[in-house]
Amino acid sequence: MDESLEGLAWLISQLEANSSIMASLTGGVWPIQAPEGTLLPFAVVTPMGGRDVKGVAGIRLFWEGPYQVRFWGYATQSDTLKTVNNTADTLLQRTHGTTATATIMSCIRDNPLPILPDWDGQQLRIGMGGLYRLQVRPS
Amino acid sequence: MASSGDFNHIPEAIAAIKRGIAAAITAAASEGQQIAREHAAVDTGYMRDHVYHVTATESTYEDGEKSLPEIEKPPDDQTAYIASAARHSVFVEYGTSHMGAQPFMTPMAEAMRAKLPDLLREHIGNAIKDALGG
Repeated sequence: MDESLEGLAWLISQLEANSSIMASLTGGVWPIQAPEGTLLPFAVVTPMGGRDVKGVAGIRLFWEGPYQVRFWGYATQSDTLKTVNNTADTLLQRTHGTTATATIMSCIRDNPLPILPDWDGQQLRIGMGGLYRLQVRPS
Repeated sequence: MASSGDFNHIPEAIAAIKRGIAAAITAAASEGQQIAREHAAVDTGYMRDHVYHVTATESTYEDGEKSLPEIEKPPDDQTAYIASAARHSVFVEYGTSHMGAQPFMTPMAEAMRAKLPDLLREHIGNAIKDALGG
């Protein structure tokens, strides 16, 4: 099983299930990269690596790894981004859950991420979010 | 006649442990630099080739026209930094609104999180053997 993909699917499902977040994210929630032309603001969730945690004799206990959860919008939408970011943090921090085939044992933020600027040639875009560490095992 | 002090090797052991930690940190910095380079996305290769590490006694930083300044040396030999000098590294690591992230430093940190206990065990063990025999 690729636990990394299970964690990715779970994070996206958590964000998409929150009506407050989705009402603000006109462009939706995307894995890895939003398609060209996606309306701002939107969210992107990206796996950032990870490792198997093993016990005696190489028995795999669970997988853990960090994910970038980042909200992109125009700089003029910074208040909306901040609200969505805070809502998402409340939603995700110290929680757990399941997918059809995996158990998300924990989701804990490692750290907030630096706000990134992104000039599209006409307007300043900014991205803010957090790095969330998931522990995942097959159910 | 030997004094009781001859049997107290705790100061030597503590010094050896510190030397072992320093050696492990230096080894981890070098290995971390290599892992980050292996994960780095390559266009011209500038970013990959300008991942560097800094310890209290050494640095692999190489200046370049697209480079950020070298970071300061760590305050002691129990600390090391692994960094990327390429100015655009942060956008590759975290992505932009129209470009997906291609992380290379975070996966390196994850890999080193798993490797560091073994490096510490190996280097502290060697340092204690060198100092106290056995």
